[in-house]
Amino acid sequence: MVYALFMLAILIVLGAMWRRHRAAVPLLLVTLVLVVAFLVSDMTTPLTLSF
Amino acid sequence: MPRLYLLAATVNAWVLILVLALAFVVQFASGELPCPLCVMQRIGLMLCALAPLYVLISQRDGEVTVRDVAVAGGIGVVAGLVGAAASARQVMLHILPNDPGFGHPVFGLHLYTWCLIAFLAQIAASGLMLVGLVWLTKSRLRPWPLTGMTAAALTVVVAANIVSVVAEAGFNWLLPENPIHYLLFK
Repeated sequence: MVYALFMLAILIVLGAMWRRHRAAVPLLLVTLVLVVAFLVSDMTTPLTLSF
Repeated sequence: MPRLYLLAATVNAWVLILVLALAFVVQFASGELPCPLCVMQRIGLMLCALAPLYVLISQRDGEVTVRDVAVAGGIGVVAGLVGAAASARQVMLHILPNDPGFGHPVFGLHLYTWCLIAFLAQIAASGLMLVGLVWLTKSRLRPWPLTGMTAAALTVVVAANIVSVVAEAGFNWLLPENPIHYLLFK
């Protein structure tokens, strides 16, 4: 469900851009920060290379 | 030069939309459900597509300005880096010898490897767009005819992905690591 929320946020940003709302870029930055935060928190499996 | 920017932004947006559509074709044609990292890469592609669309939508005022191209270039670089992080992560997860990778390869490479290439290309394209500002001249233009169609196509692709991911995750907050069924219909 969280992925759908991110995509919904992207749609909202697109709508704000279309309406030339001044919140479009700040909303986009918030979405980017949330996606990065989720991506980092989701990296629970450590990358281990064994030879 | 402003027209060249509009053409480049249109091509950039449509390439990203087509990559997202192709991911859908692979999902339904081969019955491979996207894993959580695959969905994150799709989100990265959608964020990247907002960069050229920013130029196209801003041009409806009748002009391509340095400010708009600079903002779009910044969006493209940052979104490209986010997407590249997700796809590089998945490449690293399957980098060991004899690892079959996730899903079937397309033209010899897995989709996450193609995604990494796409994100790096997006970063390069955004950089070139910024460098090209040296030659951007001021001129009034008629509204670009493809802006509405491009924005509509991205809206459709994003909306379809929302439906797909809700069907896949069901009422769960996260996706299973190796999804096999659409949990909403189970």
